[in-house]
Amino acid sequence: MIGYAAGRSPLHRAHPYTPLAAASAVLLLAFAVSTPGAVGVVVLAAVALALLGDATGAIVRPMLVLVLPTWALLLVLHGILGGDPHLVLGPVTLSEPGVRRALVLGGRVTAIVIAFLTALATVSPPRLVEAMTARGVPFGRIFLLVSSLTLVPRMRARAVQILDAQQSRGLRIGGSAAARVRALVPLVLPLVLGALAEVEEQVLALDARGAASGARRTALDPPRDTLGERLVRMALIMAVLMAYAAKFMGRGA
Amino acid sequence: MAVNLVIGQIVAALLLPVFLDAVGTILVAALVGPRAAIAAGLVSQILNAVLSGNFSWLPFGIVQIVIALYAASVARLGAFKRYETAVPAGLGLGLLAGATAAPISYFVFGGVTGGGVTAVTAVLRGLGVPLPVAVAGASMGTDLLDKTISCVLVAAILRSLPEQLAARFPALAR
Amino acid sequence: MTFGVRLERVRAGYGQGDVLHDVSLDVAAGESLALLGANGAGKTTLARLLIGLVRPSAGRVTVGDWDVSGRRPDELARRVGYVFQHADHQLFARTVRDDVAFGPRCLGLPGDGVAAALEELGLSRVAGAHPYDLPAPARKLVTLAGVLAMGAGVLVLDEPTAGFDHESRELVVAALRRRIESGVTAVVVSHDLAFVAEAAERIVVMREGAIATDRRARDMLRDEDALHALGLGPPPAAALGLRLALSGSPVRIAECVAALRGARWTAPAV
Repeated sequence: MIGYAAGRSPLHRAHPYTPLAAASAVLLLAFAVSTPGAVGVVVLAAVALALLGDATGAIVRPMLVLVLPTWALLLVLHGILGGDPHLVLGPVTLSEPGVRRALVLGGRVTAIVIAFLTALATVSPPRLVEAMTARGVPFGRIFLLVSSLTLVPRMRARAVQILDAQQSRGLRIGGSAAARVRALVPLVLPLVLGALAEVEEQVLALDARGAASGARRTALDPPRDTLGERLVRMALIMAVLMAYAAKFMGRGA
Repeated sequence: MAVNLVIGQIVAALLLPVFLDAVGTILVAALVGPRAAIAAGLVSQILNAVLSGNFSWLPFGIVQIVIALYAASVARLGAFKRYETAVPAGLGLGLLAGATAAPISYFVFGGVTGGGVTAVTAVLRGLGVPLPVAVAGASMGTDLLDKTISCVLVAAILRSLPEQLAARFPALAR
Repeated sequence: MTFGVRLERVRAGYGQGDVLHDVSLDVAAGESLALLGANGAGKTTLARLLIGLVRPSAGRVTVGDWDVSGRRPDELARRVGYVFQHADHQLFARTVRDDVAFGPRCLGLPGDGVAAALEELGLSRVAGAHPYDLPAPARKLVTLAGVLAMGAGVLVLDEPTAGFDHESRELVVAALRRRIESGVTAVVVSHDLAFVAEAAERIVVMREGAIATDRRARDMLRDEDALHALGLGPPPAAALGLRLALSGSPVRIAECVAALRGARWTAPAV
């Protein structure tokens, strides 16, 4: 399951910005390094983050679903179809540089997916909204983000309803490629028109709540941010900066 | 924004080898303007990552920015008013988006991205085409088809927009 | 062409677990049936079986001589017209007329039913308007017109009158009755008993995925205890008939009026 999983781990109790910062740091670090060993370290760091957030149970399934196909494709694309020299391992021949490349790319994806799934599982959306409000992020922008998130599942349900309804009106889902492309219009149009009508209602609702007034809002119960956490986030930023500095200096040398 | 995400579901039901994940961005570009379209494209990219959990796609946000800017400028020229102009506009967008996406796909992921494109890449690679060319070819071919359909859909949407709703979007009048 | 509908020992559901357990039901051609029951009792699942959007996991569903299992929804649409509860999500054409014509066009029908369906539901005046510029009940009427225009022999309506005013409901009742008289089979899922009273001859009550009651609408709508058990009460005409002990057990407004006209009525002493 992707999404918030209630818990009492250090990450759950931390200020919402901290797990997000950690996940972002993993993302940036994953692209900063380019050897299989270094990428492995980043993957281990992401796993450590998941353990710290007590999120391994919640994320292991979506992680595998997202990561395994990528690995499979990478191994085919690079490991088997990659350049020379090749290694013979029983029945298969593997390209040595290809495998190295697959390990780097697959490791990156794995680390990023683990880190962000952990952040999603440990950051409660209402607490994040409170934290953003306390930091003075305009209400309109927060509302836009949150409302889009709630809109998506509703629109998914509506997409299913539209598919059902248009089929019941005799629209064939399938057939030739041209017919399928033509079928897009009666399927996509109602979805978009409905979404636009809904957005219009939301804008009216926003106006009615004075979102445009620009006044700073008061967070009712802002999550506590400690000096320690601030230091952790500073350290993460430093680590990322250092990794990129090393990357570019290494290339220059 | 949500449009970008949910259209994929309909496409999947139709088993078409395209994403149409830029329809929302192009639509906002034509309705409101480039800044809103960039915001819509980026937010939808982030939301997509949040909802699917696949954060490794975030770098493709750059493509959404390019799409937003291009779509807003051709919309100003009236490209989405008629299907005859929407098709070339879509082909142009496909070239541009493909040209932007291919280097990202190659450098960041070594050619592994979405299901359809990757499969095409693998086939080209299997035929002996060098990897960078295979990635570019696959991504370009899919993008041309994808963006042309997207632009025609946007033109269809704009045509069937009810007046009451259309009146709320000043960019349309231009 | 008219068709009966038959379910033989049907089990059906979505993914895990069946919603319908061993349901058998026979609706004759030209019969009008209302499905009542609590939310989740399986009414909509039963209705969706008829258009092929839910597939039976056991048993057989037939529409006339067609077994629905072998047919896609767009094929079944030739025989079954289905109006969805939130049908206004499906509108997309630039005018009401175009949207109503979509179904007939998909089926390759001549489309002469379009104008008639618009006229029947009082939509001729707004035929050139954009569907999204109409209020919600009118949009729902548009979707109903879209299905009527397809001329199907079986009509399946899921909550067709939810949110309707009296006038719109009357239009739906009149259109539906005309179809039923010409032999069309109607299956209606509805909580609106005033509508059910006017439109249905037979009532089936579903409970927990099975048929709990199957009786004449006239009897059911005058059975206050049975209706109370469903959290409902008799529709106005039936209630009036019961209170005044009118002859002919009226449940429809016209019947009630006729009974009142015929009654030698004296004001009760106060």
